[in-house]
Amino acid sequence: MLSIIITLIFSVILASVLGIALGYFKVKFNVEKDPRVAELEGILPGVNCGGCGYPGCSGYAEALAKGIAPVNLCSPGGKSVSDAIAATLGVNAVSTEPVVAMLLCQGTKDVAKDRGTYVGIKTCRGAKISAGGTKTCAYGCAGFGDCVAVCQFDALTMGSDGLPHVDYLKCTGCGMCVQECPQQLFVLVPKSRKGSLVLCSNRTTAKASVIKACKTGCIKCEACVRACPEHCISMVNGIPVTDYSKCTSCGICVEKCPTKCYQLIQKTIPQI
Amino acid sequence: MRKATFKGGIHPPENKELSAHIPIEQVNSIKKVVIPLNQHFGAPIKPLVAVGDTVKRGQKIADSQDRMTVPLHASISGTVKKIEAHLLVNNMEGPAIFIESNDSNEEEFLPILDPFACSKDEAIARIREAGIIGIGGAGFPAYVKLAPPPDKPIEYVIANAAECEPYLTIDERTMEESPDDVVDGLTIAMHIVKAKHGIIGLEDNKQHLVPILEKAIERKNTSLGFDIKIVLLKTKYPQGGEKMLITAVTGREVPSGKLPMDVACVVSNVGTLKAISEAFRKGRTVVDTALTVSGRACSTPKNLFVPVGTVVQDLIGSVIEVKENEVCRIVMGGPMMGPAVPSAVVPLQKNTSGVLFLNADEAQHYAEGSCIRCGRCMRACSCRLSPALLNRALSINDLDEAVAIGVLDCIECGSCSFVCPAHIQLVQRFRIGKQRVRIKMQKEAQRATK
Repeated sequence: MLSIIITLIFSVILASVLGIALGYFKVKFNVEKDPRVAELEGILPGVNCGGCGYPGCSGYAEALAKGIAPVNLCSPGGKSVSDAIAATLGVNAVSTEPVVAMLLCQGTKDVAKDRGTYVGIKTCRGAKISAGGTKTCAYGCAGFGDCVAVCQFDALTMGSDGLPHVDYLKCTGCGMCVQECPQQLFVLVPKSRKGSLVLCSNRTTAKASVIKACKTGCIKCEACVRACPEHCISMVNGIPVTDYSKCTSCGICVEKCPTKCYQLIQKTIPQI
Repeated sequence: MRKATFKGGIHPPENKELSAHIPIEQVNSIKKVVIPLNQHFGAPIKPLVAVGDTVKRGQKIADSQDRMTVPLHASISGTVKKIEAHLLVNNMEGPAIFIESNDSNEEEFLPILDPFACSKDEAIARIREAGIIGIGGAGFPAYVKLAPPPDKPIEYVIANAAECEPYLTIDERTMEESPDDVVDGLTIAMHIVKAKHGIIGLEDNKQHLVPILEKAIERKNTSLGFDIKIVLLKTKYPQGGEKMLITAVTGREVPSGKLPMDVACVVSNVGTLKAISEAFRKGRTVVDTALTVSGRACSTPKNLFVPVGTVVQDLIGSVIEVKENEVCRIVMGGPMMGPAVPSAVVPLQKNTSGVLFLNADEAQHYAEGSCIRCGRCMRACSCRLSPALLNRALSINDLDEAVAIGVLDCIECGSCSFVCPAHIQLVQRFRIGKQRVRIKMQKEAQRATK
């Protein structure tokens, strides 16, 4: 009986001493934590895709609370998330246009030649570093699917034709594939955009090399530049670029292109 | 004589007997060249000639005012046909100047300059103007090496005569045939950086060169009195790596992320030293590439002086014979570090030290296995890193850990991949890792500036 009472008394004394110490230390060594961080983390989707450029959603939330990151970086969350963030932080909402990633290469196994037998490790970046890619075209898709590996939304799949295919309904426009691709073949295109786009990234100054390398490469003939009735196509860095403020989606450039590099964006991306 | 060396390294089959006995041959029959604009390590340069211009051998055809640039010179006399992109040695596309010969053999070089009578600035300007880059490796501009900041005095100028890459024999032949030029270049470099000691680091498989070089040093020293000595090194790959060579001959270690000048050393390949000598004594600009053509799929192994920009394909048939059906892989440079190219259409650069036509036996390729944790890569690593741990960190994309283990110190010598019993392609993974680390650092720097 006595031992039970001694144990009880001892436990009570120990508990109260520790409790007081804990309470004291909580006040003494209190770390100021921005309550908004937890709130912001709740708002963000929590997929940790890294598209904003910060290490995951919590990293972005901290940067937002510190006020060093713009509110519209979360593309998977889209407009609703950026509005909610803006409301939490008490800043003006910034309009965010939903975007999707598009692959600017049509060099499938059949139309683009291989440069040789690549025996290195099977990643696009490895092929780029050691062999300059796997295709004769120095700008083409290597086809090992580095982009597929980084996509957190299952929006990219490696096709049997040797090119990755974007599921535009699943793509959130986070831009991880844009950053990952060593050939920089992906671009983010606003979903609402209408007009023509060249699906080739070959920026070489040697025109003849394109013809040898790929059947659907831009051969810099500039037929599109001459044919456009609105004069909205110009050559930038060796690739024709459309001025979307003028483009009427007439489709003349799509018809005139001898190697079928052109495509109308609205025909590729399903419109909402 | 003491045989100096470093810790780690490997002993690949040397295969130097194929071409070591063959004198260097000057090739003059080249009809067209494709001269890549940016052969040096540094900022890009711009062409000074336009399409249709007539140029003479030795004439300057491209230059820039930026730091870390060296000018480029026409390697044959003829007409500029076009300036456009071409596939280069590193398998990337880059701008190049195409010149077609007019068979005139006219030459336009610089006036002769006495390196010991002119000022230091004049001498540095001459080395830049001659277009000299370090031909042993990355193509680092020679004039930058010889003009260190004033707070970094230089004690040693080391002539890198190790030539540790298998097959390559061009440095060996250069020393055998023109030892005076090499020693002269060494004394000029020593004079420019005011170094007290000059060292020629020679692997002991080239011992027969010691008396030849000693005689050349004696001839030189009767007039000037420089302290030049020959240090014999153990034959081991990568003995010719800059940092390994410094450790072997001086006992100093270049700290991580620092340059040889931080330990008061300048290392130059013997070919670079010869070019420096010729730039002063003959006024010659760099117009020829010195290289070894070898490999068991090449029936005529040779040591050659070829105009810079010669397309390898143009040499086949006229200068060298290749067993077409046996060629399994074409490697530009040495087999350990040189890149394999898809076909012989690439042009030779100033710093291309070899073209190897390897047959199926030499270019064996094995499928990758799993790491069995034997630790052979750690014993072979010339930088004393732990390739196995690095590989593990990189396989889970842990870049911070990889940097902590030292991925950025890797010199990509390939020793670890060579000894790996599981045939893991370690070096390629480290190169990817290094690129990822650099991209990450750039992003962080960008965000910090915002």
